[in-house]
Amino acid sequence: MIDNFLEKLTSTKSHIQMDVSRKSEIRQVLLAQIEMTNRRNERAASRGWFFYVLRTALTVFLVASLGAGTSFASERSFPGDTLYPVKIGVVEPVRAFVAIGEEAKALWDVERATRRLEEIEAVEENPFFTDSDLRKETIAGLERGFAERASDVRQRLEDIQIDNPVLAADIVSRFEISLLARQKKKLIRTEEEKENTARGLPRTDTAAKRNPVAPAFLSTEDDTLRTDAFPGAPGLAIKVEEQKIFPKNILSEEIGRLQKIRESIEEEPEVGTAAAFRSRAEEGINNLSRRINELEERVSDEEEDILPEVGNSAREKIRESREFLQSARESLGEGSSQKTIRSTVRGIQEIEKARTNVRLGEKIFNGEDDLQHEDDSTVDRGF
Amino acid sequence: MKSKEVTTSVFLDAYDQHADAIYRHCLFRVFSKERAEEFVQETFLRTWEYLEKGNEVENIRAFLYRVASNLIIDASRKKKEASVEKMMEEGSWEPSRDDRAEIEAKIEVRAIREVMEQLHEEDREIITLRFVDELDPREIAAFFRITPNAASVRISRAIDRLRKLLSEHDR
Repeated sequence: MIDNFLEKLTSTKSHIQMDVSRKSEIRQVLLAQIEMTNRRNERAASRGWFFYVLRTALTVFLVASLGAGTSFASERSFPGDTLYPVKIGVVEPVRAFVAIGEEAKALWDVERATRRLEEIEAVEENPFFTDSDLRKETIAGLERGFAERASDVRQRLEDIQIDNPVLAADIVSRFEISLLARQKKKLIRTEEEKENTARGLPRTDTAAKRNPVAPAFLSTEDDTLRTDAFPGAPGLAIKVEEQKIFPKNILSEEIGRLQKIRESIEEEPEVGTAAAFRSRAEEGINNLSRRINELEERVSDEEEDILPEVGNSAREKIRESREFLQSARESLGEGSSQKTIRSTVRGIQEIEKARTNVRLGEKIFNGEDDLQHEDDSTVDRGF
Repeated sequence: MKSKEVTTSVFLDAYDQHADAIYRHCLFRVFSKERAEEFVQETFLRTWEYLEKGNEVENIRAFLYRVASNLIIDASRKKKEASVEKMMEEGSWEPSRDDRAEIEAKIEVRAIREVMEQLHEEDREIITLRFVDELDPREIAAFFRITPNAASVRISRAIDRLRKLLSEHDR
């Protein structure tokens, strides 16, 4: 039945074409638009940058006044999209303003920094942004944005750490784990690009050229990635060519700074706030356990309909998440008998790793993210 | 950056080559001749706007599909759900020549429309890209900015939901 329908769909379309006259009319419209644009550009060329800035500001103001639908739509926009100026110029500053309390403000700063990284990835992977000055300029601007937001996070952490080191550790861990996950994703993409190049397939990712692995993560013996560089993936090891030159990598630099902050927090003496955090953490662990169980049920229910790779990858994330949660429980259990809050901070980290893995498992199962496997045989399964 | 003459020439070539394909895509998404033609016009106008600012596009075909699809999705969000009957009142696809093959195609399209309109917009989009526009999973992956595996998962899920719809439809 489905085959008949799809065959009908494929065969029917061959009879469908635009009316010749209508096609010609639209062509005339386009020619008129081209003519108008050329004349307008000739006039505007003499007016300089002032009107461009004024127009941009007016566009932001006008679009901002269109209301909630526009601001919601702008949240998913990337550089080059019409609503991106709204996201950066209106929505994000408003959200920063309305965030109440140091925790909310710090987490919003983390979110903004992460968004700049997502936008860098979107520009790098966008086939419509060809390798040009505009692309490089856009990425450089986004990297500056990321550095500024990351600096905001660190400044807030300094203030928060004084009264509530456990909260500061929580925020550091969320940011650190998120950056490590992105770093891992970049490395896997770099390897995939190498394989594509070896197979003679076109390169789609220029990130490999721009962000190779920083030396801090390399083993001194054989140029493989240190197995302790990525706590969530102890088995990950990637060969890196010796002759590569490693420019500064914004991700690894920021990860290094966050690790130092976290290590300093771990040496703080155990105080009452750690005990209060442990009960909150227990609730977080229970919620994550529920999410993991729900994901496992969905995977079991749809076992026959989904691709084996999808099911296996989702199950692996489920298994890893449970391991992290178990490790979190153990660390938090030890915390009460320690003189420093080191165990509590470790527990926080494990919870964040579990949360990241569950999120990734859900994305994989929904077909929204990468599967980390070697072959592309699913592409050839007649879909 | 290309010269204005080259940009104009590339753009008009793209129109001549791809207008029909974009029209077909739009028609199988909105099932209205007039609206499909409007979307074609708007797609190419937006593309021209993008090109004349000095932006370059590696794959113009994929770009056109993306613009068309975004326009259709934006329009569907603004418009309330209409019944099949109301959409047919607004104007359905009519064949350009009244011969037997065209008439049969017209009947088939009506049957296809009855099923496709019950799909969610996202499923309709991906089924159209795969079986009307004949993009392969890699091209669909580039279209959605996802991996080929993720594209295969989405295609598989959309086909599965279509299958369930067809079996209910035939009861």
